[in-house]
Amino acid sequence: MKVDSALELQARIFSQIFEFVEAPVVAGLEYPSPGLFLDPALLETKAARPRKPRHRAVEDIALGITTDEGRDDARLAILVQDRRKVNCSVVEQAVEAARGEAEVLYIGRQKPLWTLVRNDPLRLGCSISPTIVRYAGTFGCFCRDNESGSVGILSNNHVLADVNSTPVSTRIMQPGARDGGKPGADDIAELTRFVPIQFGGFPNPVDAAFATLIGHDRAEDRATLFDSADEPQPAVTLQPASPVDAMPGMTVLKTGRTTRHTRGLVRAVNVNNFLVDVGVGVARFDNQIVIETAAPPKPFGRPGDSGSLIVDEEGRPVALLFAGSASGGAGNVGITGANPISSVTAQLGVTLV
Amino acid sequence: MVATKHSMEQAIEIQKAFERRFAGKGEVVSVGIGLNGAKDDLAINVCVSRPNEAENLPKTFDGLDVVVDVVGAIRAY
Repeated sequence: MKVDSALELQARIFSQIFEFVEAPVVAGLEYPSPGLFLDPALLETKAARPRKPRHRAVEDIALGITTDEGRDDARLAILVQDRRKVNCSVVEQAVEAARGEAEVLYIGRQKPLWTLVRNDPLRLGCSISPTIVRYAGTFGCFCRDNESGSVGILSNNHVLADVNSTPVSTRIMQPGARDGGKPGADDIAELTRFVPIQFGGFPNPVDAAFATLIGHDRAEDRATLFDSADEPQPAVTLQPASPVDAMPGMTVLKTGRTTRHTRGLVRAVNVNNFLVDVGVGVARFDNQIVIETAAPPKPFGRPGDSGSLIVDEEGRPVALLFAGSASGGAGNVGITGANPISSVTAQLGVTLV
Repeated sequence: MVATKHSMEQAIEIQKAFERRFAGKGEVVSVGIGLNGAKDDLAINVCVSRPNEAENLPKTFDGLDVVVDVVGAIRAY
């Protein structure tokens, strides 16, 4: 079938077999889009007394479109998260509605990445943000404030302080706002200090901030960088007391909110006049490290990975991830910019622990 | 690390001269020190945002190769 017919078929299955309700705009359309048919059960989240959820056949079943390579012949894809539902009547009816031009795929239970959810123990690399913003960045590592001696967390200014704008003592939560963090219940720290980012061509050394831990009820794993698995496994043990300088060609690792555990190669060091769009303007950074992926087409970092601690293969701290581009470097999947960790600790007045 | 023909200190001196000549002209995103294509020596690593911005840059400078990466715009992650 044609792609248009497949979309129309999806809409018909949602409406007739899944018994979804039509969004009001559907009435005027000749070919309604499948996205306009809504699951009534999911519309009731704000009911004062939610009905006890009934187990329904259409849960765990998604519809898509699949095509064979090089052909414009489309088929309905029926994606099932629960193995017991692969042969259920709803799936059979959908296959029938497609007149057999359908593929049933068991895709397993779909879970959010471990970095995006509430982590207990607190793990390096998971999602964080202030409570008063809408984005999320990465929890780099634990460190000790050289002034007060208290232990806190390291990340970027633009993550913990929203580029110089979050008031000191604002609460920091894990997961971050973008990932459903709840102010209050998910608070783990409060903003203590940041190195201001300056504009107008001034060469900035770092994009760094420190937040002191508050009393929280979670365990802490201070020394492990975890891998990307859904049930994260230790990938490398951090050696916080042994920072090393980056050298061109050196292999580095990081774990971050968006791309989780990745491997890269130092592309350049002592990078000056590194111009970064931080949202409210372009800031210049000097003495930076540029990293490319070691495993194209998988990028080393993506938005949301900011604040990740970058280490060498022995777990020795090298740098703090803060920026990147969508093209260039190995595989043309983008380069990643990072502050040398020795500048970060010196500028911020902290010691990694 | 592999031994390179130039030391990091020598490369930084050459980088400074390169920056005086080419950086901050609105074409070059950044200037750093990377490896040459054969990976047996340090090189000047230049990031530009668009390919045509590298046209006026030399292929070598004071004995170091000039390696150009076209990276588009860099933004805070």
